[in-house]
Order: sequence, then structure tokens, then C-alpha cells
Amino acid sequence: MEPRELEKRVKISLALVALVFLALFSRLFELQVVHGQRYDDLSSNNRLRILPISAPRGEIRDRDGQVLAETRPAFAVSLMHMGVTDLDRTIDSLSGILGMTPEEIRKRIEAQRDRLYEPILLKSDIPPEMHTMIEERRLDLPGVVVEVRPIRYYPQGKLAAHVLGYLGEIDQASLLALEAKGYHAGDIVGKSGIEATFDEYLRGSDGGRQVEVDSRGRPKRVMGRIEPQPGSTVLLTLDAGLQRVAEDALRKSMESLRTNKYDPYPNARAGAVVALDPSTGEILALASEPAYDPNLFASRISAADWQALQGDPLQPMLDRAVSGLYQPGSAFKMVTAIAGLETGHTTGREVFPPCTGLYHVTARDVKRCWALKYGGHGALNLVNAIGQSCNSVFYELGRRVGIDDMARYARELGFGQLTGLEDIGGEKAGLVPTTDWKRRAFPRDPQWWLSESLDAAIGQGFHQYTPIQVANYVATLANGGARYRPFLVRQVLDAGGRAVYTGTPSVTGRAAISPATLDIVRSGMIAVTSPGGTAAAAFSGFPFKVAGKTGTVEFPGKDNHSWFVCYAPADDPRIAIAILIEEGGSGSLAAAPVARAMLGEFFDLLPAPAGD
Amino acid sequence: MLRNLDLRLLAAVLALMALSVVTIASATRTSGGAFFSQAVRQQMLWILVGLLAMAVMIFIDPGDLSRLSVFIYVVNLLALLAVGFLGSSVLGAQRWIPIGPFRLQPSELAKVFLAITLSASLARREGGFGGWRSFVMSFLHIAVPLGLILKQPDLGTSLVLLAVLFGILFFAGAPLGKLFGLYGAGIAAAVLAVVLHLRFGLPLPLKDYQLMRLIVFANPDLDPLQAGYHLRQSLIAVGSGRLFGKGLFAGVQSGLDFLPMRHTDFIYSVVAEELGLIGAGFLLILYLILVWRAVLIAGMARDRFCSLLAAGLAAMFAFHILVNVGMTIGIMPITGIPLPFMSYGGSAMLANCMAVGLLQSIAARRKKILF
Repeated sequence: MEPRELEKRVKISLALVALVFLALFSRLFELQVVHGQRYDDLSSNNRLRILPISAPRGEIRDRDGQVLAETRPAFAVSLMHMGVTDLDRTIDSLSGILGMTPEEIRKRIEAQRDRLYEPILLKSDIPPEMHTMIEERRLDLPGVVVEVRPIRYYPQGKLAAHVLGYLGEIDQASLLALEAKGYHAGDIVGKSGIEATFDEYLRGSDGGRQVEVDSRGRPKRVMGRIEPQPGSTVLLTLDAGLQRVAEDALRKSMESLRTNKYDPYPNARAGAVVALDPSTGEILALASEPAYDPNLFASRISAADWQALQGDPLQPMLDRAVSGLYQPGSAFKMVTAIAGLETGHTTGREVFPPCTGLYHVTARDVKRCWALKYGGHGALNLVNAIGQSCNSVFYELGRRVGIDDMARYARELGFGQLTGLEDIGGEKAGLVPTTDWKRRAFPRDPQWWLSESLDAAIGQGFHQYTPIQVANYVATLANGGARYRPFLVRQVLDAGGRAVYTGTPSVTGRAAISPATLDIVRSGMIAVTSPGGTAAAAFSGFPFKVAGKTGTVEFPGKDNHSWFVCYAPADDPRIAIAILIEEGGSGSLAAAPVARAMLGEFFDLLPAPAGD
Repeated sequence: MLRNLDLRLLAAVLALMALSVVTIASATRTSGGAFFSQAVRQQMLWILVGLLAMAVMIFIDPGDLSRLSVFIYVVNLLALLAVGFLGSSVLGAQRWIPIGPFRLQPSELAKVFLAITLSASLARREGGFGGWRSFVMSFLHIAVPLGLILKQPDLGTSLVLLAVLFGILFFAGAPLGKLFGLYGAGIAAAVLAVVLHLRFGLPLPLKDYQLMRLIVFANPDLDPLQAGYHLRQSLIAVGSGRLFGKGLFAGVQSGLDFLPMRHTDFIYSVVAEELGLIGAGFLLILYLILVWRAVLIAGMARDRFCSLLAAGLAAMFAFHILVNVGMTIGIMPITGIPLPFMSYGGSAMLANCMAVGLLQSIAARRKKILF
């Protein structure tokens, strides 16, 4: 090649070389200067991890400080994925010890695919024997970590399960709403009851250790530590002793109903109890049977247990006290009486046409009073009609007053609306039938029939109310017409003992009912538990008067539902109770004894003599 | 004659060697370990052997090599064949043959040997470059060794051979249009093949992971756990070095084991992380001196053979630098070719030292400039 060509090629080569190095240098500049901060952050993030330290969840206690929910230490088994060479062997060994199939373990690993540098939780509460087995075979189980974690524990088992609620992993919808408040995916939160409504107070705030890790996620150095803040303590208005008596008495009553030799009620398996303080609205007891054990949920409920709960036809997860809708039966008669008195369709002195057991609506349409088999109640005034629960009198009142006015007073007493309870969820508003409502709800049968008013007057027909509504109605009668908002939480105290929340009584409305009317109705309720009344036997021997009302609801195709409502002492009410037993038969035989047991506990009375 | 040694070239190489020792010490440090880890001692040994080889090459007259070119070609071929039979497999590639207590990687030496033989073959041809005939003959010259290397499999080194070929053809007088056109078409065909493979499943003689390593620089997320991870860690290491670096021995990407192969293929990332733009830039300047001087030596060589040989070696160095550094900063595919004088490795050090020795030999005997 001639020298000039050579020189040209040398120059071209040098130019190409310069270009290449310029390209390399600019890229270096781009990475190190332009994006340098970003890569520096990535470098830190690569190697710094926050290992959370769980905060112990706050306790839930009853009004006297008895513990209903607390935390206890539990051993959790996790797997460190990165760096484990013979993962399959470890998985196989683990599956034998933990009682999980290898597929279940692999699914857990797969689910955490994008965060494999964090330990993968396999089982969060292992019994001591399992812990020992793992410790003994440490060498065969590389990457397996056992750590102590706090776990929720309900020392009283199923007591007040529906009030307390249960825990579970936070779901997508809630996470979106709560992410701003510091909730993360995988957090255990309350799903129902107090655990849910007061979750923010109860959960405290997790702490963490900032740890420098190597590429296998193995901690090398602790850089810093933030202490966890324990959750606050929630003090309920519940009286645990009363609650226990309520639940026990309810279960015992249902059992004896089912096993009764002469007149068994085999389907008496479900019911509810609500007890309120009529001067404040504090809920003293709230029970729903059957119940579940919230401890099942404390550490990731097993699929089998969940299926059992969900598949149980009696629905133990349902809180019948606030979500169950029922017809009130004869317990509603006070409303009819009030409606009659307030609209001037009757007075306290009126003596009604004698009850023969049959009431003729029209020539062909005849309704029955349950006293038919005794030949009827005879002539009664209003007070005695309540006390003896005569249907005929109330059919007559129902005819006179009409559904719309009955509905008006029902609403005055809180029926067909939410009570204002906020501390737990699931409450249903129920339904008060009116002519308007029927026209809209039954387009094929929009006419309101007279016999429907009569049914409504004795608490049958279209009524749909919850036990807590019924209890609140009784409390309103007891305190003279003030509707209080029922509440469950007296106070929430933080870890330092300071009150961060206080529940206060609040009146949601006053029933527009004259004191004179209330007096008459209350006398009627006292007559119920006096000699001759439908619940006289249940409260014989009590040192004070109990104002109550029995209820028996006919339900086509099923046994009658039983109601009993009361407040006591009649002249200075301190407690109002509503009890419901599904398919329990007679209110006085099935439900009243439960109230008796509860009043016995609440007022510290000696137990009833045997034979009652 | 020794007066005409290229001192700038020598200085640059010595500086690179020193930097290599220090960087490898950092890259292979363990907590509580000594400066002179096993790797550091090995590298220093190879540097010594390399300097010796360099000295030997300086004293050999390049003309003698030209005369021995057939012999060199045959020895080279035999060595490459031996790898196939005697070689040991590390990282899934058959690249070494054990020679006594050492492991020799013939493909590293093949680059230098083939530069010699190809230069000799082309230089001998009367009348300069012979058009398409010369193209074909040159390619055939390296075809068999290239095939053997490709089979190991060692795609990177095969590409280096093509780069050496390019350099030699460039200085042999090959028409520039045809030369650039040929290589351009080759690159385009390769890219097309990859695209067709990804879109339509055209079968390629490449394993999945090999393909991933080649294309992941365009999109690291294609292979986030393996090659993409590698690349990402390298970018983080380089970028987080910023202007001044984190300090020698203080690199966290390497110290905490985030960056694999940091003392071999990714050693540039270690320099970038620990010494920042200042250090990495300085290293680039040293390499620039190396390649620049090599090109100038090719221009000042006393005869055709020396000129072609120097050009081929310059191209060899340039390609190594471009691809290795480019790989660590994410603008080149991951090909596993080492960084000259910096990466840990004996065969490469030996080959590079021999190459520098040859360059010095050519420089020392350059055309006397007549006034």
C-alpha cells in the first residue's frame, strides 16, 4: 500500500478509535453522573432491608378488666429461599415435620416469587413438639428459621365471639383504602367485630430492624432498630360474667328444649341475647348462638376449619343479635297498645269485649287467640291484656288503629331503623310494614288487607326486626321514651395508659309518647310477671318487680320462635334484655328462664330453688 | 535499537498491570482476609511470566516469525484440537488444557498466533490486496480455528478473531467500501437472525441462556434472574460509583457478593464503583493510549508484515476493550471476553504481554525517518 493510502488509513483508524472511546466515556458519564444518585439508591436498597418486628396487638377487656383477647408468643416456621442449595430435600423433610404437603410449601414459595430475599412464612403457630423436631434436625434443614411471634389468643374461647370478631389477612379492597394509613399486603387485621372496627387502635405500629444483607438475603449487620408500639387496650361495656351466664343459659335452655320428653323442640339450636343499660345505651351482653371459636383464626385458619364454619347450616359466623331479622310476635303488643292509646282509640280504663278464643274479622275470616283451648281470656282491660297476652284484644286494637299508625309508633320506638350501633358492624335496619310499603313491595297484591293489620298488631306478618332493636325498644320503654345509641366500647387506653377514645351515651331520639301511656304499658309488663301473667312462674320469688313480655311467633313450616323481653327493677330499671330462641316454642317456657338466670347474675341473687 | 521502544505504550501497560493487582485484591477480598489473596498472588505471578514473555518477544525479529508462520499455524491448530480432547469443563465450556500445574487456554493465544500467520500470508502476496479472492482466502485462513473455538463454545473469542481479521484487512488495503459493507452485512444478518428467532422461532445454534446474554443489554427485564440480574448489578455498581467512587476496597456491590464474576469479566465494574468516573475514566485513557500507540506503530512499521501484524493486534485490543467495558455499562452484549491486563487470568495475560512484546518489537525496528 502506498504511503499516502497508509497514512489515510491510519488517520481513519485513529478517528474510529477516538469515536469508540468517546462513546464509552459518555455512557460512563451518563451512568455515573447523570443517573448516579439513582444507582446509588439502588445500591443501598440492594443491601439494606427492614426486617419488621411485630407489634403486640392490644388487649380487649370487659368492663371490669377481664381479658377477652390478648397476645401470646407463638413459634413460626419460615424458609429462607436464597442460598439454599438442596431446596427439594429441605422441602421434603419439612413437609413431614410440619404436616404440609410439598406442593403446599412450594405454593407459598411461588406466591412470594418477587420477594424471595425475605423469609417465607410456612406455619405461624407450631406446637412445642414440632419445634423440638425442627431443632433436632437443624443440620438437615438449611434455610429453615424458627422465630417467636406474638399471636392473638382468646382465653375465654367462644365467649362474646361475635362481639370480639376474628382476624385474617387484609384483602385487596381494604388494602387500597387503608394503604395510606400504613397497612401492607399480608398484614393481619380484624375482619369483624371489635377487632375490625377498632383495628387501628389495636394493631399498634410495627417496629423494625434495618439490616444490611448480602446477595443471599443473609443479614450481616444491624444498622438500626425501631421499637414497636404495642396496640392500645380496648375496654368494652360488656359484663363478662353476665355474658357467660347469658350464653350458658341460652345453650342450656335450647338443649333441654331439644331433649324434652313430652314436648321436644328438636330445632331449637339458634338464638340471640342482647342486654342494655337503659339509662346509657351501654351493651352489657350480646350473644348469638351458635358461635365460633375466634382462636381458630388467630393463626391462619385451616381450610378444613373454614369449610366447616362456612358449610354449617346453622351459620355460626352470623351475628343474629344484630343481623338476624325476625317477627317480634307478642313482644310487639306494647307498640299496638301505645298506638291505640296515643291515637285515642282506647283508654286505660276500657274493658274490651270478652275474648272467646275466636275473633271474627269478617263473617268468614276468623282469627284465633291462643287461649282458645282454655275457652278464651274473658273480658280484660288493656293492662291485663298485656299481662295475659290476649290476641283478641290486640286484633281489636289493630282493627281500630290501622297499620300506618301502628307503624308510626313502631318507628318512634326505634323499629325498622338502625339503632346507631357503630362499634361492630353487620347491623340490619329491618322493616316496619305500611300501606305505602306494601303497595311498592307487592305489585301483584298492593292492597293492604284488614287481616294483615290484625297480624301486625300481634307482631306477626311483615315485621322484620333484629334482637338489638327489640332490646333497645324495651330499654326505651324502661327509661321513659329516650332512644339511646347502643355502644360496646367504654374506653381505649394506649400503651401508656392514656385514654385515646371514650364512648359516651348519646340519645338518638325521643319517642313522642305521653308519660301516661307509658305508665299503662309498663303496668301491663309488670302484670306479665305477676300472678296470672304469662311469665309469672319464671320470676317467682324475685325481690323486685320485673317488667317483661313473652312472645311466641308462628312461622309456617317451622316451630314457633320464642321471645322474652324485660327490664328490671321495674321502678328503677338498670338493665333491659331481649332474648330470642329460634324454633324454641313458647316464649315463657323457652326464653324467660334465660332472662331469669341473667337477672340472677346481674343482681347477684341466690340461685333459684331446684324444680323451677 | 532499544532506544526506539515505545515508552508510552510500556508505561500504559505497566500502569494497567498495577491497577489490575489492586483491583483484583479488592474484588476478591474476604472480611479479615489478607491483601494478598490467592487470586492476587496468582495474578502477580502471571504478570511476571508475561513480562518475561514480553521481553523475549522484543528480542525476536518479526521477520523470523513470518518465516515460521506455517509452523505456528499448525501448533495453534493442534492446541485448539487438544482442548476438545484433554480440556476440562468449567462453567460449561471446554477451554483449558492442563499443562503441568497450570491451565492453559489456547484460544487466548490463538488470537496472537493467527494475527501472525494471517499477516504473513497477506504480506507475502504480491501486488497488494487482491480483491474478493483475498477476502475469501483470509476468511478461510481463520475458518478452522474459528470453528474450533466456536465449538468450545466461546462466541466472544470467535468474534475477536473476526475483529483481528478486520484490522488486518483494513491495513492490507482492502477497499473500504467492500470491507465495511461485508462486516455491516454480517452484523445485520446476525441481528436479523436473532429477531427472527424471537418472533418466529427460527432455530439458532445457541442455547437459551447464551441468547439471553447477547440481547439482555437491550432490555434487562428479558431475563431478570440470570443475565438481566447480572447486567443490572453491574449497572448499579458502575452508576453508584458516581464521580469519586466509594473508595478502594469499599465497594458494596462486590463486597456483599452482589456482582458475580467481578474479578474476571466484570472487573471494570469494580473499578467504576470504587474509583468513580475519575478512576474509570483514567483507565479508559490508559487503554486509549494502548490502542492509539498500536495504530501508530502499524503506520510506522518497517514492512508490510509488521504493519499488518500491529494492525491486527490493535484491533484485538480495541475489540476487547469495547466489548468488555461496553458490557459492564450496558451497551454491549455479555460475551465473556476479558479486559486486557485487568481481568484475572493467566492465558490472557500471557497472550496480551506477547502482543505488546510484538508491538514493541515492531516499534523498535521501525522505519528510520529520513530527514
